[in-house]
This record gives sequence, structure tokens and C-alpha cells, in this order.
Amino acid sequence: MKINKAQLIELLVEKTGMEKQEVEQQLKELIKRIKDAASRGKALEIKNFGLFYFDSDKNLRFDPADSFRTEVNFKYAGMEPVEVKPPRKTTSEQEDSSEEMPIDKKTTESEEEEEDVFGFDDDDIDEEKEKKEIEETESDEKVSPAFKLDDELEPEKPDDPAKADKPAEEDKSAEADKPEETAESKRAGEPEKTDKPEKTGIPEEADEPEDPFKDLLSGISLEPSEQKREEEEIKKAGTRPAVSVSTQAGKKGQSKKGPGKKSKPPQKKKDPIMLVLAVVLTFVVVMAGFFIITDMTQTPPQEPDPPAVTEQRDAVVAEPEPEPADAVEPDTETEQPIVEDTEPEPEPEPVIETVYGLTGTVVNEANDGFTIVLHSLRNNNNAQAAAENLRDQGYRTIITERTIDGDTVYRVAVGQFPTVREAQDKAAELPEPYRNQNFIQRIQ
Amino acid sequence: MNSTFIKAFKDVLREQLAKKNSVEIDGFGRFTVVHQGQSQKKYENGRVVILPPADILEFKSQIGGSDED
Repeated sequence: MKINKAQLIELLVEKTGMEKQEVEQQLKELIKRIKDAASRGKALEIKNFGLFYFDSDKNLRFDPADSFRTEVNFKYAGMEPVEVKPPRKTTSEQEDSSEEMPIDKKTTESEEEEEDVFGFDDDDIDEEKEKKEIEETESDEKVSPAFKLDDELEPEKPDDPAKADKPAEEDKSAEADKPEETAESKRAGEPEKTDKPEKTGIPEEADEPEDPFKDLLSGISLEPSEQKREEEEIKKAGTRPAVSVSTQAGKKGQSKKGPGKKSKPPQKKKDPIMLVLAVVLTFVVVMAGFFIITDMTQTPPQEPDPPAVTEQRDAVVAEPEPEPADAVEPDTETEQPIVEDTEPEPEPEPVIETVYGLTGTVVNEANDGFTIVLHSLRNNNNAQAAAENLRDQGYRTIITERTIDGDTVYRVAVGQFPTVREAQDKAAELPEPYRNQNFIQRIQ
Repeated sequence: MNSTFIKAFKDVLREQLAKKNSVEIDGFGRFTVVHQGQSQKKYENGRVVILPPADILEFKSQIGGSDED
């Protein structure tokens, strides 16, 4: 349905109890203010509504506030991206660490119930900030509205995966960097030391090799995390015990000496020790990289799984016991949760196909899988009716209830599938209105 | 400008758009809700992810900045 200006004014009159003329006047004024602000290169924000601004092409743009956005997207709020294929595992270690995408965890752990996306608590805010309802924010250019919006945002942002993940990552890298950095910064903070070599009679070249090594060392320290390196060294211990010991000892000595004995580090020793250290460390890192890569190629693609689970899953895949209708027996029940935990399996398992399916009646044991959502309704009766309709067409129909911040949606879905992939394949075979309007979700 | 008006304006627009109605204000622009179907996204590292469908709010401006000034 379309609401035009006249209808809008009508609604506004109803809402405010003001005179029609007054409302018109107000509306005009609002539009004028938005235009004025925007054309002056300012962004005009209406709290809990959105931000108006001119983009670089001089077109008026509107960025809805997060709460507004969520409200509009209510039906699908809280739906998370589902991973179909995990990332390739043959990449180098640096890339790997950056590939730790949040979506992974999201899909495995969080369902919509946990989401805190909603927050239409604007009423409280309105009361507080009646006067500030409209805020004009200065901006030098049209460029910055996005940033401004960020500043203005209320705490309840929708989960931005990147942001959510960052702190953890930063923490890690910070941790990894710290010891080395403090050592370095301490050293750097004391110019006397760098001067010393000359005074103590060490030739000037001493300075030259030192810097590259420092760089080398710090560079190395950035690559693998502290734990990783330790693991690697433990691994190393088997093949090259002497080296790894000396590395660790050297490293410890170095990182402790840096901050500890500020005033008199063993200057003369630094040169050869550094050289040896650098060589050994680079060697260790190279070997470690080799180990990691070989490790990765050996481990199955689902890396976050504990080893026990992967084994079990392998077992499940390996046993092709043909299991027909008596799959209702409890032993499948014990097996299937494992399958579910391990997320989308690329290859469908023949065993389970009899339990899962698009048509027929709902099998309770298959409720650990995925289903194709065709309707998402707020009214239970409508949902029941839609489900009835689908059931009549022969589909296994499931209604799942999801509560989002007090509001309930009823999602009418068809089929039970062990994997997202299978659900997708079946969804593609559905008749038209549904083929393009569906979504795969977990049944439970 | 009246704060009750602003509040009502927000409320009306939000109500209407939540109902998927589009709201057109002559001489200003049109707010519409656009449905975006489920889609697949491929990352460079080979990961494939299904993005859920979404209803997205769009604003089509009728103010061509320069000509209206």
C-alpha cells in the first residue's frame, strides 16, 4: 500500500491531535530544515529515526537508525548467515588468522533468541531528549555522515560481526606483541645504550646490525602468537632439541633483560647473540610454518571441532549401515547431535536420507537438522493456516516459534534436512512462489 | 518545530513502513521497503555463506540537490 502526502498528514493529525494546517506547516518546516541542513553540507539526524544528508552527487540520502532498520526487517531479524562451505585450508598462517571470521561462531552458537538487536526504547530517550530531538551535526563535507552516525548511535547496535570479533583478535595480538614490545620500547627509550657502544669501545658497526635484528625479531614475534610458538618449539624439541632450548633460553633472557637490566645490558654479547637468535628464530619460524601447513592439510576442514568429535563424525560417515524406517530408534538419536554439531557436511550421508526429507510427515529424530522457511508470520492462526495448506500439498510442515524481544514470529517451514546444502537443493525444486522466497534455518 | 510533531512523524513512518507500506512525500522523497532475497556470498578464501533475506528500507529522494537549490 502506498501512503501519499495527504494520507500522511491525515495520520499525523490523528496522532498528534493537532490541526491539519498546523501539521502541514510542521511537515513543511521539517522538510525545509532537512533540505537546508543537507545543502549546507550538514547531516540532520532525527533520533531513533535516521540521518539525512547529501551524498557526493548532491542527492539527498537517508540512513535509517538501527532500531528503525530492525523494525522494518522484523521478519528476518536475528537471522544469521549460514556457512555452506568452510574456507580453504591451504593458505599461509597469516591469512589463516585473519580468516577467523565471526560468522563461523555465529552460525554454530547463536540463534535469534540470543540477539539483542531490538531496542525500540525510544520513548524513554524521547523524554530525556525532547529538545534534542533533532540534532544538527556539523560536517565539513558530505563524506563523513557514516562516522557521525556511528557517534550518534545508541549502544544497542546490531551485532556487527567484524566489530564483535575485533577485540578478541586485538587482545591476542596485543598479548603476543607485548613482551617483545616492552623490551624494545624500553630499549628504545634509552638512548644512552645506543650511545654506549661507542663509548665502551665497540666499533660503530655494532649499531648497524642491531637494528635489522630488532626488526627481524619484532617481525617474528608478530607472526605466530606466543602460544603457537611454544607449541612449535615443543614440536621442534623432538627434532632439534639443542636449538629450541637455546631459542627459548635466548628469548627469555632477552625479553627479561630488556626491561629488567635497563642500565647495563651485556652490550658486547648482544652482537653475536642477536645474530644467533635471529638465525635460529627465523629457522624455527620457517619450520613452524611448514609444520602448521602440513598439520592443516592433514586435519579435516572443520578446525574448531575437538578431536573427539571429528573422530566420531568420521565414524558416522564410515558406517554406511542402511537404516530404513527403524531409524526412529534411539541409537540414531545419539548419533545425530554429533552431525548437527559439526555443521554443514558437504556430502550428504546416505544413512540419514530416509529420516530426512521434504515430504511426508515430520520425524522427530530429524529435528536436529535444517528446514526451509517459507512463511514468517506474526499471527499464529495465519501460520497454522499456511502450514495446513502446505501440509495438504504433501510437505512435511514445521512451525517454529521465535521470540525476538518479546515479539513472537511463527515461521512455517517445510522439510527436514541433515545439511544446509540438501535443504538448498530441495528449496531450488520448490514451486515458484517459494523457490525464491525461502530461507534455510535450523529446526531447533 | 514541535517535538510532538516530530515524534508523531517518526511513529507514523515507522508504523507504515513496518507494515511494508511505502510513504511518499511530494517534493521530498519516498520511503519504501524493498525485499532482498536470500543470497550466497563467496569469500576469496573459498568460504561460502548464505545470507538471509532481508527487508531493507530505501529512501528515494525527489530532491535533486542542485536543481532544487
